[in-house]
Amino acid sequence: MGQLEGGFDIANPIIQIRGLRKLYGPHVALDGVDLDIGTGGVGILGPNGSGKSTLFKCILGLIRITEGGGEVLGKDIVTMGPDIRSKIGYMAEYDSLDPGLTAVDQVRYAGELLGMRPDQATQRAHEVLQYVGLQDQRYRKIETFSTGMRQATKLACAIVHDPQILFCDEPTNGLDASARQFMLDTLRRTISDGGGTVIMTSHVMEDIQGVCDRVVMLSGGKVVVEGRIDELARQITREIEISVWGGATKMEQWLLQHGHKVRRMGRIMRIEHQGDQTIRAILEGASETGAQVRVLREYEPDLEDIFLLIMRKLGKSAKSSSDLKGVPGK
Amino acid sequence: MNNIVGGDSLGEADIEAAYGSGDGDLDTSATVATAPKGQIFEQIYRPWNGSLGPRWVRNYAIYRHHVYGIISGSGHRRYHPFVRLTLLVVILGSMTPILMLLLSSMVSGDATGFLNRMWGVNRYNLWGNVLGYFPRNLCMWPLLTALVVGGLVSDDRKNGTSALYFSRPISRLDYASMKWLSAASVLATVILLTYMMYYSAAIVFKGEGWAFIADTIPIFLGGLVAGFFLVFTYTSIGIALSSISTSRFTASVSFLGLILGSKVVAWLVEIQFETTYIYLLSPYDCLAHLGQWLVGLPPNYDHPLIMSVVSLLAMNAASLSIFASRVSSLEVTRE
Amino acid sequence: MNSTPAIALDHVSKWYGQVIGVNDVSLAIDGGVTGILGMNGAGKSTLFKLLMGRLRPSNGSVKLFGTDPWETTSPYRRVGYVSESEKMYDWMTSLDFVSTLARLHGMTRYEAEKRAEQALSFVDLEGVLNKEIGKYSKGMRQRVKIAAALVHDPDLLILDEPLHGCDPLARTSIMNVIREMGSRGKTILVSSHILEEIERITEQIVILHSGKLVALGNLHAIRAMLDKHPHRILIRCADSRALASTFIDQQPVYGVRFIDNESLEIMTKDLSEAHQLLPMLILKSGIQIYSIENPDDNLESLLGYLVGDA
Repeated sequence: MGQLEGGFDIANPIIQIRGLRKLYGPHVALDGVDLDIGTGGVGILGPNGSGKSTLFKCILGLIRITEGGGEVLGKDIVTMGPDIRSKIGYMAEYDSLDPGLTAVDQVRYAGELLGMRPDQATQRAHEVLQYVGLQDQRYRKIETFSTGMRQATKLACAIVHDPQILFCDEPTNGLDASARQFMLDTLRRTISDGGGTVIMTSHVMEDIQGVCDRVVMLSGGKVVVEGRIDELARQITREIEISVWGGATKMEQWLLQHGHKVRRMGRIMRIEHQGDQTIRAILEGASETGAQVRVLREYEPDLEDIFLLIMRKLGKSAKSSSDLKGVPGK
Repeated sequence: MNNIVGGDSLGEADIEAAYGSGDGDLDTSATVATAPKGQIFEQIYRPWNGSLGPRWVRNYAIYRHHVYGIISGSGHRRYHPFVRLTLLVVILGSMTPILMLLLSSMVSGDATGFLNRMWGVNRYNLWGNVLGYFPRNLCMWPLLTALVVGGLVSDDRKNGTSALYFSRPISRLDYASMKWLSAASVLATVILLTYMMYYSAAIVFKGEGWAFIADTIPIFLGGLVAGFFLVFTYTSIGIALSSISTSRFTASVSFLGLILGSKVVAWLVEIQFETTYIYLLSPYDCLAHLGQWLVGLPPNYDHPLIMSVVSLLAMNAASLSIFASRVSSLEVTRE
Repeated sequence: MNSTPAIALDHVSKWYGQVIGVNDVSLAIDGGVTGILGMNGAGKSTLFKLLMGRLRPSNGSVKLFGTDPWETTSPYRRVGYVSESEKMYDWMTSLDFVSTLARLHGMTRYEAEKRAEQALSFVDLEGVLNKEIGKYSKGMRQRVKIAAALVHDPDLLILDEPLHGCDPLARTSIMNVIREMGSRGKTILVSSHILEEIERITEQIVILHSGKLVALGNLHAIRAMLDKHPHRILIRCADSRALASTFIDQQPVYGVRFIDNESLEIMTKDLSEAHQLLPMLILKSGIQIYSIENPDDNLESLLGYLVGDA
């Protein structure tokens, strides 16, 4: 197997991990992880149980490492945990807010816990709550907040001290379409305007793509892929995707007859892209068969495709309902 | 480099077709209605260039959050108004001896003698102010502790706010000690401060001189030390219970149950079987026994003092180790 | 549609004091996969509770397979329900939990255990079958619920955010099953906040807003009905002005907008006609095109038009 071109711009890595191993008794959570992470947006992916959470805990200096080590912002993760945690922000996946406090009190307390004076913390709390869109609700108690507002408050607590690195664990959990969009926009802006780094995990590949330009994928406690999303996407066979209305079967046959490699499912077809003539051929086929090609574009593989193909390469594919069959008596 | 799956092609990405898209048919159907809305605002990232204070600033923040919460209704940890009212009643209740002293100094005649014996400074009253049976030590102090300690650690477990603490440069030791200290401070204020006020009031209202002070100071200090042990023990047991449970109510009720229950059971055993050894299991009685010795009163208990002391140490050690282990198991991330 | 559709709501309203959860909703769903959309608070969870017999409608009638679920529990033999807010017995292992539920559906002990194992290995939990649910991560808990809903091969699946917390593998597996069951004639109702997920699963949708039914049916057909928003066809090509000149005089086209030298947008009232003519016109013009798209024929734009989010 060859090497992947590219990888990260590791001229100035802000996180460096070498040979990290973590064992919980006999269970190997992390099995020799080597990683360099630079600034910008980085997504951490992996199936459940791949070690993402453990990796975070190690980087944050929260658990004892079995072997290996690393540095975050130039500080050793084994010995300088508290220092590291003053420079980073962490947005937990689950509830981590006190429902009896108002948003501004909670964020202020979060700042004070870092060592801010009450006056500094109060001023920052207001600023940061405005940034996350809770300007009008900051005096309300958190118990009255919707999920979207709680997520925003968690984000506010995490960025109250303008950290250099922001770790987000499933930041769009439970958010509806507009709240989700807003959260992703906010995270993107934090990278572009704030100049910081966002390290994000999510099960929704779409979200990671919306914020990060690079990914690290873990499986079974090891790093299996590390690179820029656009470069990884280029490794997937180029195809033109079309959506056909009124005659997909005829269209498919026409294309096959004319020597094109076609895959089809319902009204969607993918034709292997062999240059300009492919598109021309599609249009010819459409005008000859009378079918309507309502959508035509170069299929751009997204992160989800990359993830699935990589998992397939590792021997794990998605299942279908045939895997659910065959029990006596039913 | 890392890429186990690198190099040549990754292959073809999967196609998916949505249900209802059929085979590319032209006809589809639907029905519609209508509605509108909207909003806009400017999102600007503001950097922060301040510097963060050292460890004591952070720790003090934790302490303040818990202690101020009792006094002020908002801005800090929330205590239910009923809890705060009860605390107020308890603190006022513990100041009644001072009121009685004032009264006794104002009244003259036979009554004076009586009031003096009841409320004046003597061994029994000093001991009583800290460790007296009823209604104080059996009702007020345990209730006070229960209310202060309920939810101290269990809330963090329930709300997940432990993540807020530990994702910051706050060590488990800092967290634990500040929480313990905040509970102990409240208890100390109500128990020890009122005790000191009582003693001072006795001197002031009676216009006592240096001779009196010289006589009573050792007793006073004895009581103070006993009070200190009381605060320490109740806080430790209470906070251990709070760290085990997941609700404020459970922790409070268990604490009350433990203190009162063990006392009552031991007392019943004493009545029935005429032995005081079971009192070793009751935190209150071990403290009372020690207190009696410190203040110079004859003990109510048949068993030697050293056993009560050992029991007390054991209880504290057990509570603190439970507390420590529960704090170290608080999660920051979950998978 | 037969007389006993899987789900039938007839002028159903539900209010809680002053607040209306669902407002005069009538719909029938029978067979296939239907997506249900709406913002938080639009009435989706109220609707699910009404379907599952947790709530009684203030007005109107709810029927599953022709029977009122509030009156009898018989429809539930054929229903599987997944919801994030449902609690499970944390002290049970997932195998115990799913096989117990299977037995409640009337299977024998042996059958229940076999089917439970299958369902759980389908959702990739075969390695942790004997571990207590309380120790599971969020994604794993979600998958247990899905296994529990599939174990008795139901005719109606009601799924409230089923893909929440699932990694892409699990998500694709579950989506495959949903589509396949739909094409086999089962009825599936799926709700999700992630519009792209719904788009991949189904074109049949129901949109709720503030408790009211706003749209129902095939998403493209719904789009076609929004006359106020004329259809746009976005074409990226080598020379937009030259291309435009070839369709300016065509009947279905009533407007062309130039976005830049390489993109143009055709406005039309009759999408079908326009697309019929397009391939030939493009070929005749000889201009190289790179893509053709309907920029607002997707759920996100649709919701925007119907419900007006910013």
